[in-house]
Amino acid sequence: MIEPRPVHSDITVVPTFHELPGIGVLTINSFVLHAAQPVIVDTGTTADRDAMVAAIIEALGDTEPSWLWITHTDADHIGGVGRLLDRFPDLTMVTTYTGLVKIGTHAPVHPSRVRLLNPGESLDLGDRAITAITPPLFDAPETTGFHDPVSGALFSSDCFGAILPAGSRDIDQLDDDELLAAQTLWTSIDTPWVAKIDTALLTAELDALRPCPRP
Amino acid sequence: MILSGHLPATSGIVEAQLAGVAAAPDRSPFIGHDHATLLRMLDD
Repeated sequence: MIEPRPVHSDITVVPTFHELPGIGVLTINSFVLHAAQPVIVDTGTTADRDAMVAAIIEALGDTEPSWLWITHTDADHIGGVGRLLDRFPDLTMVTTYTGLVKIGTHAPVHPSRVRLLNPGESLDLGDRAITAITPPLFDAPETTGFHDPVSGALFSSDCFGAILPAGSRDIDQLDDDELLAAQTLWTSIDTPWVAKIDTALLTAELDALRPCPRP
Repeated sequence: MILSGHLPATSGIVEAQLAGVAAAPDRSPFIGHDHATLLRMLDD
């Protein structure tokens, strides 16, 4: 059972947890941003599709979603796309052109249901405008996260993930060293090319996020 | 607050999250398990 839970007055996380034998636990999250025009962010795996779509609808409450923000088209982010577009006829998917082309190899989405949005561009949600960003690290070229100026949250797609120790469901259970190990393990698995890049450039990108306001 | 698709959602650990990514370049890329190890893990 997937249990949505609020992480901010404007944000509900819809989490799933997957045991990776011999490695640990991978969290796969979708989110709902409760703006004037609500946004669903990612849709989980195909394997979890039915439960994830039901949990997203639960998280939406009485509201109708306006936008379906797909951070990238990896299989663990697009499982519920078709079901949600069918369930909500006015829902518009947000991605880049690369994302639209790539999702077409899995489950084609008609361009009339898509808003193309590139990093640096903003999307008006009625009570705020969220701005698309490319996170410091990513594992697919179309990856686009965003910043919400009201909650201060940065939706970073796959960046800043972690492989939790087996049995874990909450990072509050981890001490600082365990958390660091969990994060570097994920980063090394998901973006192995990070060991080849200029550390100074990465540090500068991370430093730019440091003022990210807390709720 | 920095939200990730692959981290239990939380607030208040921005510095730890930045440190986790910054530490990765010093870590050898994860290669994975060989097949025999995988079979042993699945047997456990």
